[in-house]
Amino acid sequence: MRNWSSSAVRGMAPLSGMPLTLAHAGLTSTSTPGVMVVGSAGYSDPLSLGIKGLSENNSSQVQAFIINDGTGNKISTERLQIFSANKVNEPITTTLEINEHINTISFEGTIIKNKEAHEIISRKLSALSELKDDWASENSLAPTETTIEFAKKLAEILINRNIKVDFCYPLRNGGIQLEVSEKDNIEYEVHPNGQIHQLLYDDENNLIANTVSGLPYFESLNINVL
Amino acid sequence: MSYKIEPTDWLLRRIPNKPNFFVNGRITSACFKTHTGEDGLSVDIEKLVEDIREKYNPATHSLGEILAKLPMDEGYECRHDPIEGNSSHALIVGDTRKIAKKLARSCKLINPLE
Repeated sequence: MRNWSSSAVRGMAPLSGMPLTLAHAGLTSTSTPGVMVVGSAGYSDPLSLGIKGLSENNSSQVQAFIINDGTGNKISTERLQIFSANKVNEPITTTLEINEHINTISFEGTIIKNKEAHEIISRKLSALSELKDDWASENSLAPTETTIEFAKKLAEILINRNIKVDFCYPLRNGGIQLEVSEKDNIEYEVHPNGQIHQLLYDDENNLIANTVSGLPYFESLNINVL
Repeated sequence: MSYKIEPTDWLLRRIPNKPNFFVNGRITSACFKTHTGEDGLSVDIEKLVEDIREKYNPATHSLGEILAKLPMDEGYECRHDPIEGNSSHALIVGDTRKIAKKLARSCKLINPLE
């Protein structure tokens, strides 16, 4: 996949309660592939909207992201709207589709929801500190405080990306498994060695991908959004 | 004497009551994952368990059963592996992470006291 073009357009958006449109953001109402546009919203918790266009072969995609850049907690909503253009250089003019989709999202509500979700999973993760070694059987290790804090950080990152982590379970090696009720096909494992495994399943619960990475990778996912 | 596990055999898996591994009656795959250094997933062959009531304490553990056919169909060896104090012990040999979710979804809770 080709990297984003370095060209970018930035502008302020008077968005008090209004449906967010590129036109309101004072930007062009069309976006050509490879061009990134960014608007900022004047909410008490500052938010910005980014819409990216990218091109790959003969198709184009647009991804819309919402980022809370006021507190440093970044929220990205991936692929709010994706559509294709027939040719790489064909301007993407279906901004109305993007706007309609964004209209369905309450910025303020999303933030509150995420904070609540994070508090709930943090409490559940903290409760795992009560476990002692051999909690499941001989040689089963209890999660250390470091692993628990690691899992909290991952949960925070995921929740801020609108991946609502609902459940956590200890693993017998001292790791912790995070699960997302809305996405039954994904599991995250935080291991004592600092590795994070992202497990992806198909509809028949076959494991189809096991991506191993570290926390910096997940943090960078947000950083790289815009 | 070693027992040859058949696809029709039920394999029992103990699941700790604390912490909670159930959501809406569903068991998490975390209960069925092996980790580095383990030869396989520990289970008991139901047919060989002499007194299930003595073996499991419902105050501390729940008990799930899996048909051996599932891991065997996925290419896993199910091997009788008697250990001291547990002649019914067996292993689903190998790294079960690939089938952990399948095992979890097919696992049925049973009440040994019924």
